Parts: sequence; structure tokens; C-alpha cells
Amino acid sequence: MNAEEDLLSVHPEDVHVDGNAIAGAMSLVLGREATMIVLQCAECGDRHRVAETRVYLRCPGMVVRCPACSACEVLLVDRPHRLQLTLMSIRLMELP
Amino acid sequence: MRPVHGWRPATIVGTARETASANSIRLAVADWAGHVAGQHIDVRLTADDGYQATRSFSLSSAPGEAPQITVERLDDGEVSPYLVDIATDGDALEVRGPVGGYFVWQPGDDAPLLLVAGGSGIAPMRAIWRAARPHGTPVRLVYSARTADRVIFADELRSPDGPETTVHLTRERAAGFEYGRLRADQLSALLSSGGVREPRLLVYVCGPTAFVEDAARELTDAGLDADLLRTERFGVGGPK
Repeated sequence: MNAEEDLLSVHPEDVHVDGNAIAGAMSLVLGREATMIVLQCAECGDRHRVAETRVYLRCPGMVVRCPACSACEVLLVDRPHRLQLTLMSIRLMELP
Repeated sequence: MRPVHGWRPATIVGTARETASANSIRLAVADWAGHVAGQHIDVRLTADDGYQATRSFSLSSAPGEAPQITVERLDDGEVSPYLVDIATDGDALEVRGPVGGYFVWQPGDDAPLLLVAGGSGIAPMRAIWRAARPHGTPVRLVYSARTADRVIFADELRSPDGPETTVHLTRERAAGFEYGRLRADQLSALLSSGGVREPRLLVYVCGPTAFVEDAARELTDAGLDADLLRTERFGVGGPK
């Protein structure tokens, strides 16, 4: 397999997607559309939209990481009767 | 009463085979209030033993059309083999959404569009080109697929109603198709019209994570301002 083929492959171990994947669960917690919310990482100070974060899917838990320094910003656990959002390395949330 | 965790019952009301490994599924969702082009839904399946699996899928239908997702089979996936090979009319599942406000297109944004899709990343692009067409917004599509028989929406892309399309194949050479990954020099030409750089062009990129990172890098190398770029990446468990 060459590098060109790899680009269109989806590997089971490649579970890093982007913040669009947590929009559904996060909007329930926040009561509004979540992907355009700007986060500032408490570790490195980088500012980015929720849509631009890196999301590692380990169902039922999802880890949201800073795209600049990979610090864990949010831990989200979506279970049938419980939705848990743990805020970790976030200094600021800015709602447009 | 607001549904628990936003999940609402949905029923499959139609399926359409797109390729040997991709299927479009039309849904009837309770109290569906419409969606915006580019949004996705979370789909939850519950097995007889209570095991639940949730995945995100981009909507491939335009606003005003019935909600439809287009899914490509991942052989080791938990959800996609069911949706591609087994799902039939009348099947019940649960849906949350529509969700998303970043990777979306809405009328009023009359800038020309460049859509860059890899694999089943074409799904939200179909919603966007169908939404944009009635507004006269110019739309160009660059679509990367492994082989000619893996091109999703092939008939629509060939029709006059489809966007102006270039298809790049990564695993075979075939007449009428480009070959290989997207390169900055090819993309650079698409960022211009009549030899002049289009300053307001909006670029949407959707596909597997590796594809999106590569295409976004090539677009930036071609001189695209990052503010004009919107991306959506998927993997196992992410938007398909």
C-alpha cells in the first residue's frame, strides 16, 4: 500500500477526528450550537473553535484535545441514561 | 417533553445503493424541523441485548428534502455494515440532531464554492451543492476516490444538475479521471477563475482524517487563506 492509498483509508486505530463529532452531545450540555464556540487552552493559550479540536473516540468516552498542544480540554461520556462533561484544560469559552 | 438526551425515534423510509460499498438511507424523523447543508446527525442503534452504538453521519440531502445519510461500509465497523447491507424500509433507529454550525453553507453567502471530498466525505458536499444551485452560487467539486466504481453519486455528478466536477482516482488509472492525490499546483488553478485569484472563494474539505490534513496542507501551500477553509474529518466512530 502506498501513501496515496493511505489517505483514503480509515483505520480502526485512527480514532482522531475533529470537534464536529462532539457537536451533538456538547450542544445538549450547552443548550446551543457548539462547534463555533471558541476555546482557549489553559496549557498553551491557543484559541480555536470546538470544530477545530482533535477528538479521540473511545466510546462511550470522548477526549477533546487542543489542536496546538494536545492537552486534554474536555472529557465527554455519553451513556444511555447519563451525559457527563468534564472540563479540564480550558481557560476560556467564548460564545459567538 | 424534550426527548431524553435529544434522541428521537426515526424510521428508514428508503434506501438507494450508491456503489458496492455505499448506501443512501432516507429517514423519517419524529418532529424533524429541517437542517442546514453540511450538518450531520448522530445515529444510535440498539441491539436486542441492549448494547448501543452511536455514530455521526453527514446529511447528504439538501435542506427541504427528507433527511438522508450516505454511508460507506467499514469492514470492521460496528454500525456501517448494518446501514450499508442490512438496513431496510421500516427499520427503527434513533437520531440526534441535526448538529453543526461550522461545516455548513447557508443562502446569503454568495461566494463561489470549492468542495474537496475524499471517499464518503462527498455526503455533506451533495447537500451543499444541491442547496447552493437554486441561488446561482458557482460550485466546483474535486472528489478523490480509490477506483472508478467507488465514485458515489456518479450519475448526479455527470448530470447537468451536478457541480462542475473533477474526480481523482488513487488506485487505478481510467479514462476521464485524474490520477493520484491532490497537489497544490492542481488546487491553485481551482482557487482562481479566468486566471485571477478569487478572493472570496469558500473551500470545504471533508474526508478521512489523513485525507483532510493532506488536502488542507496543499490548499494552504497553494495560497488559500485559512479563514476561507472549513474542514470536517472522520474516522471510525466519527462523521461518515
